[in-house]
Amino acid sequence: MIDADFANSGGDFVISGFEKLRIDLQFRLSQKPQLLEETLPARADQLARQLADILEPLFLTHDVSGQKALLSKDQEPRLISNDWIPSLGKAFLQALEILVKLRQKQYATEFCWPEIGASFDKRRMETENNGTKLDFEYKPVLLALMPAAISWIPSIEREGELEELMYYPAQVVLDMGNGL
Amino acid sequence: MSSRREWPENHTDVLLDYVDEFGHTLATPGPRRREGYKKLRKHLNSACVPRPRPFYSIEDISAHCCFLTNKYAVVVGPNVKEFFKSGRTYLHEPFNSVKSHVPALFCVNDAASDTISRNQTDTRGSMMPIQQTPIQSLTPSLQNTQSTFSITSNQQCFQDVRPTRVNSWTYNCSPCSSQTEDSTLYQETTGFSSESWDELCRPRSVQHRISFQAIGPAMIRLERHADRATDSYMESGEVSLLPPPDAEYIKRNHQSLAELLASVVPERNMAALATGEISNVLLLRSLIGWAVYKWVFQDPFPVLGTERGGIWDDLTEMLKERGKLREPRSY
Repeated sequence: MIDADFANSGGDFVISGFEKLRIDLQFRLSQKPQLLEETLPARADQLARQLADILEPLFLTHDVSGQKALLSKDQEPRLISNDWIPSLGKAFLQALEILVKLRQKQYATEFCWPEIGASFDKRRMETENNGTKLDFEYKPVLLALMPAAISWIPSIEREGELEELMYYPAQVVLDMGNGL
Repeated sequence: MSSRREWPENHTDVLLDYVDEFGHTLATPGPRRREGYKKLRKHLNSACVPRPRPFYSIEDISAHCCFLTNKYAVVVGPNVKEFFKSGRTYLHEPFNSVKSHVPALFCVNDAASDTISRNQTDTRGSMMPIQQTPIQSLTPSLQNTQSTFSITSNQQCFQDVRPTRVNSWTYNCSPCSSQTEDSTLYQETTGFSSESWDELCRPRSVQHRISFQAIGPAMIRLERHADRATDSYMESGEVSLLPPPDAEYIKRNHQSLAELLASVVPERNMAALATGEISNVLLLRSLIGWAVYKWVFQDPFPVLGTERGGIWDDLTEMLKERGKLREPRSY
């Protein structure tokens, strides 16, 4: 029943029952903030498990009885911690909570992931490299760690234009050598 | 007479009854629609006491009330004709303007209508708390104003007046309600963009709002959680004790991981993994950051997700058990 498609009387569109349920649930969540208290942790946990599953083989290097396992540089076998998933879940939960709160604001907040290889932008990026800001000039981004959070709000001085409001600069690691 | 204007006690119920009776016919011109408008005019004129001004004509009402087809949304507000004129774009600006300028009633299928009715019933006989009623929570600025129907025509808010950006940069940017393939699907199937639904789906509660000043610290907390997750990856020791990932092996055997890896480390930088220029710790942190960015900040439905199963099934079951979900009927 839920999956059954239906068409409206005019036949203008077809929407699945599942989509209707999703819309309905989204609407309910908006009217029942307490539902978010149940939903956000569950969603965070779902995302954490999804990521943990994908990342599981990232550092697997050694076969033990036909199984891949973590093996450290000192040849000691290691295990992935049980704390890993709940800990990851907290990160996703924090992100979801931020997003829900941001959606109450008048101006949309955008999240920007720096392009790898782009030059360091001292206004929109912070780097974990050691050195002074002068050292970072024109250095390319090697790795991004966190996206920037920005809003564009109507400019007071220039009518019809938007001004950038930087809440949080992107966290990056720069290639301090001569490039790759 | 109270100087403070209240949303009439039975206004929502009457409107919903009206939509039940006539909503499906309003999309088509004809005598039934005319009859529907007459009834609504009568109701609006009697319900809005003291009203800013009477609704004189059918055209007047049609300019103030918008009934989208199939009861998917009902918007009561000024100059709704402008919505239609601008085609799809009306879905963005009007919803925003409705939120801040005019009383609005949204119905998203029967079940949602039921929610509105129930909320109304819960608060009957008293001032409706701003956070408990869809109508007033959509219009917080009106709670203490002089008119329930704020007919201060604000043409600007119904036009696509989004200005151009200055200082645009080359990052991969996505707004909270981004236009993705999923939202395109919505446009094609329903005529609504996911942005408009997104707008509908915001929990309209002041307590859920975040101040400008708090966004930065909240992001820093997110960063720290990602750090802690990285630290807790291994049961003993540090991730840096592990050899670097074998990109070739991953590419051959684990497609999802290979795609995720390629998102944060492009092909030309893969050598940096082997040489240790990109450490394991930084790599793991980057992967977590990217997943948060992609799966939360870029997802048009981040709270429930776009994939089926998991929390969707849990929620569906939960709502069914509580009797809060019923199969919407077809029109």
